[in-house]
Amino acid sequence: MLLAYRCALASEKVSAVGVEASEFPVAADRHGVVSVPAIVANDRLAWVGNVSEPRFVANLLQAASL
Amino acid sequence: MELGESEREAIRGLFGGLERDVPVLLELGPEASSVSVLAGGRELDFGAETQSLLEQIASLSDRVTLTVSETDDPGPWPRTTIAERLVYQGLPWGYELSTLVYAIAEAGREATSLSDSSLAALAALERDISLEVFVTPT
Repeated sequence: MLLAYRCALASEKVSAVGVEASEFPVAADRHGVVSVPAIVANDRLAWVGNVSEPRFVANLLQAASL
Repeated sequence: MELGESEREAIRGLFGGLERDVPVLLELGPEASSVSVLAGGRELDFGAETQSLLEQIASLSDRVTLTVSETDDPGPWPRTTIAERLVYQGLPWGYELSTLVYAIAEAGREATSLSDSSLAALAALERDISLEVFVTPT
């Protein structure tokens, strides 16, 4: 979550929203979230799990290119 | 939920490094999909608990200002917005409370914690990207 926030602070092209999945199960179900942390990028489930900063940024760039 | 003195002290220390003001907006209202959670034999009021936690956090630094707004429209409430950029939907408890505290600290600093290589990669972004990070309290 914090990496997403850091990226949003560093780039105006990135927006970041944290969602408490058990409190908003409809949103989680809509994206097929079954485990956390789950990262949805541009409305698509992009990856699941904690990753390093370089991997997080690489995943973000890949998701942005889709 | 009340922050312990050790937590308050840790947050004060972290907020001591704030270099600019950080506005925090809490939006409250009826949740679009109602979920009940029992804690200690009572039903949690997510909005009231979030407001209590954020009031406690904001009281630990003059640079952190909390504004609370309420609506009658159903939505993803409670919703917390830090520095008009960073959004969190739900009650920030457990590890996610720490995340919000660190997010405030990050927003209040001039320098980013990201590496130079990450900043260079982000600078190459040509399209907007919207991230939603689903978490659960731990």
